[in-house]
Amino acid sequence: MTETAEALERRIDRLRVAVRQAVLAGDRERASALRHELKQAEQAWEDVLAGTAPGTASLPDVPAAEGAGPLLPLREQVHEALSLLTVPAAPRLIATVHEAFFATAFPSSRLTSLKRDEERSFRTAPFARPYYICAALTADRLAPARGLLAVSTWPMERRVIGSLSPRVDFLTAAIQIANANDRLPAPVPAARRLLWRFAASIPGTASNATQMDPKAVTQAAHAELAVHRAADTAARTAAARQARDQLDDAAQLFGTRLDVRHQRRGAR
Amino acid sequence: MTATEARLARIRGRAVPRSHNARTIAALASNPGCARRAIMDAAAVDKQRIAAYAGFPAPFGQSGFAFARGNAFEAQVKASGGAELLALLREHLNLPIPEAHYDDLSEVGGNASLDLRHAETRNKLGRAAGDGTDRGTMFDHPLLRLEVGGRHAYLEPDLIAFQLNGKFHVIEIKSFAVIDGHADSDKVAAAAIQSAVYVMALRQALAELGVGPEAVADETILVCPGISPTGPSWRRGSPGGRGRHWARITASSMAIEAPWAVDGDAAWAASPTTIMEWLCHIGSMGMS
Repeated sequence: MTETAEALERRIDRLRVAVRQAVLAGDRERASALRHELKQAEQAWEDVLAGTAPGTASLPDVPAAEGAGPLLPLREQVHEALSLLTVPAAPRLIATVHEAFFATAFPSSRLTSLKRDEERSFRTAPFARPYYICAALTADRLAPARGLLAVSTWPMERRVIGSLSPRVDFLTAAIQIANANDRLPAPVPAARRLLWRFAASIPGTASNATQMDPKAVTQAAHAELAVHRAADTAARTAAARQARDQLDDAAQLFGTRLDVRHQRRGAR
Repeated sequence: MTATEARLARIRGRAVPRSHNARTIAALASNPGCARRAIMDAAAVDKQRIAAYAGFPAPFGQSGFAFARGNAFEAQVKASGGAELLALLREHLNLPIPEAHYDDLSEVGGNASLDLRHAETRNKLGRAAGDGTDRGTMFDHPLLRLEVGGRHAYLEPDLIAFQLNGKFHVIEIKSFAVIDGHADSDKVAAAAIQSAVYVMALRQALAELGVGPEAVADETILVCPGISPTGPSWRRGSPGGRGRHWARITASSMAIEAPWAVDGDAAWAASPTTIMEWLCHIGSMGMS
């Protein structure tokens, strides 16, 4: 069901009033829910406008006009965020990146079941999809690394995690976020906040968030990356070779688990 | 089972032993000298249940909110391979830039069995302390073991940092706030004792691998939320004094000195007079 532009305008006005009231009342949860609704209404309004503009009348149906959910399924949103980061990342970071650069938010808790669904889908019909959201593997045991998601089309070297890899991936992600910030036509607060979270932990970047320059962050991250890269690449290459030699297709994507015959909870 | 363990088991009776953790072991140190409580701790008796049985139930346990807050802060500090923590270590301990390894010991090959994790912890820490070929910097959730009253208590320090000058530092992440450089002294003291327990457990683990106690620093590191835009704050302190105090009253020393002659199922089955007699006897046996 699509609302008319006028109806949407009235709804947007009402939502703005409700957001203001919720903020003044200090009800943050309600305010954030209402803001989300407002954002969707505004998007729907843009869509309606685009659909009625002269010359574009025959635009295909936009699913978001339903007003309920985001434009893309969750797995594609995760794919977008991961493709921006180019490294395995934790659900919370993926959600933050998506919110900052793609303007839609999703609770990171929804990602916990995503990997399981992807694995099930892969096992039922291997390689039926162009990509899968899969696991990053620990370099020592090729088990799924705790709390990290990756994309199946990435080379294995990028998906195995040695002891230096978290740092290397953090710096790589910082560079990607800085570049993405640089490409934005106007500063986006959420994107800058995200970059500052990275920059604050990299030596040689600005001392505060307002003075931070994305180019300087990139430079500093590259400088530290140069220190770790050789050791990390060596470890990852070796582990990736091992993974390709030893694991079947499903295990290469989702890891192997150590099976212990006596799984007792320790002598207490 | 040694004679002591057998005696402790008789005190506990048919009740299921309570397993110790760093919090309860640290509580041993803050026991001002109540031998009755010391015996209960050594025998792994469920004190809360006894209190409830005696008509004094504990009104509440650990707050769920405090728990969630603690976990959220810990997750923030350790996110992305301990990025925030690494910045703190570099700033305050002059940790060299190449030292950025991060080993997650909370699972072994996707398996979280305690025995397995303990073995892996020993393995990794031993290699890091040994020839130095396989160095680590941050070890997340290592699983250590300490013997209390003949039973193994598993302990999980928040993090162990390994420095270039060959010393392990125990890092404790706590979510109580440091405002204007000050924190609640009781909470800091409790955290210090808790980290002293970890230092001891770590020294013991390394001793089994033939590494001397000097490999573990006396100083431990406390990371707390601070009122500053950069996030976590920083405290360094030596729990050494507390550690010694704690060492003096380890449960095994209590167990050796305690003259158990208990009949029946559990200690509290004996009459108060009898218990008092034992306790006085223990008190005179150099528990001070």
